[in-house]
Amino acid sequence: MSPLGPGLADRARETAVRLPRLLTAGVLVVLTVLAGSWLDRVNGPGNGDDRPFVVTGRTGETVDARKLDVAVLGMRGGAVITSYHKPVDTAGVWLLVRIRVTPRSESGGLGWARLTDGRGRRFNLTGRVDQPMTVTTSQPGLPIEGELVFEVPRDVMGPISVQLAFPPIDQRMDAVAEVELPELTAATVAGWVATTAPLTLAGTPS
Amino acid sequence: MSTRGRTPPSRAGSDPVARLGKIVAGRTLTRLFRTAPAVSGLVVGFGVLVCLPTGGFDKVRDDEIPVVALGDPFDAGFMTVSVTAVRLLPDADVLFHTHPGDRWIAVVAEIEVTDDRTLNELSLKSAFRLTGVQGLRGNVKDSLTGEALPDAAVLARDSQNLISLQPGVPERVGIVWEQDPAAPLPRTAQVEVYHFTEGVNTIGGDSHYWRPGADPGAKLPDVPVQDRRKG
Repeated sequence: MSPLGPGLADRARETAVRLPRLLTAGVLVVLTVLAGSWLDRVNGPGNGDDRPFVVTGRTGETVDARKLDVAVLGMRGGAVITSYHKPVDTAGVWLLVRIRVTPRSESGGLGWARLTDGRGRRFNLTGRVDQPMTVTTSQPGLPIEGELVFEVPRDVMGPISVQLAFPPIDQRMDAVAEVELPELTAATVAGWVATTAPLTLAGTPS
Repeated sequence: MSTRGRTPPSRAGSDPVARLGKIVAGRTLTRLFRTAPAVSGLVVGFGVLVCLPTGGFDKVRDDEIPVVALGDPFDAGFMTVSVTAVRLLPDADVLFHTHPGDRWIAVVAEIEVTDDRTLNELSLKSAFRLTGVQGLRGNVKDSLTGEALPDAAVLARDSQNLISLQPGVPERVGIVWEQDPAAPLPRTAQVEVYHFTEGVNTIGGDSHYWRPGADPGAKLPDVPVQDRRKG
């Protein structure tokens, strides 16, 4: 009989059997985590499986954005814009993008837009002024036209593009239209900054 | 030797059907649950052993937080900030009381977004703290420290609620807290600004801001509070 007594001896034996299993399980857990971490690094975090489907186009072309047909018609800019009957200035410059949106099979309108400049900076629609195009809906086949307003820095230049989509919040796994705009030059932006006459959004009574 | 009801290895190990039956009967699960506390204990113990010598449990001393002077710009991760004043403000149309008669106290700062994307109001407000001021309502509190988060952000340019700041477009901004009027009038305050960095969600792949620690990246101690309630 073990000097530890029968009960304790049994437990000691049992522990001796279990300990290697526990250690093996622990090692397997660590190896699994390491393998997952390595796979994550190889694939890149969030490997883009749920990224939006980007459909590209040029100014003037109609681009299919799944629930909408969209077309970018042009752009202009200025230092002051009228919103809710008041002039609104900026430390940057107002950049207005004129678009046409046509719902395809159900009523709706533009939910989201973002502008990207030549340095890769991404500008959401400004919340400082009225944005009637984001709240206006239409019926299938009936186009609506208007302007989107972006507030951008005065050093914005180079190739710029605008992205347009139907979902207002989450564009993953949905279509996003990406349209190239005419390349911006420093002279164009300087001209806009010098334009102090307030811009009025096309097609709106503001 | 006691087998305590254990199935002999020759039967359990070689017959997959018998093994599946044991799992369904719950014996393997029972063993797993029995050993789970020991495994957890080992893991936690290992963590503590690693953290202790490396200072993981040490509280960051207040004097280790970088001090910035009023008006000096500093890098706060997604933006550069230059705090210019702390002020008591008059009532304004864009500031909504949760308790009528409350005071408004604001950190005034020049801010430029240096990140490559639009910064929204919530992310901006989450970077600022005001300490040494009693009676802040703290309608929204920091989830880690319980400190009062700002109640509003106002753009100085047009005195409107700030919704977002665009990259490369510098603005003067008021970060505003609501204060109980029963609290003493603050003479000085300490402004703390957290340094946020961009992280990528490893599941969805979308990027977001996070702060690496529970301590501010910079502080401005003893900023005089200007009383501008009567213009």
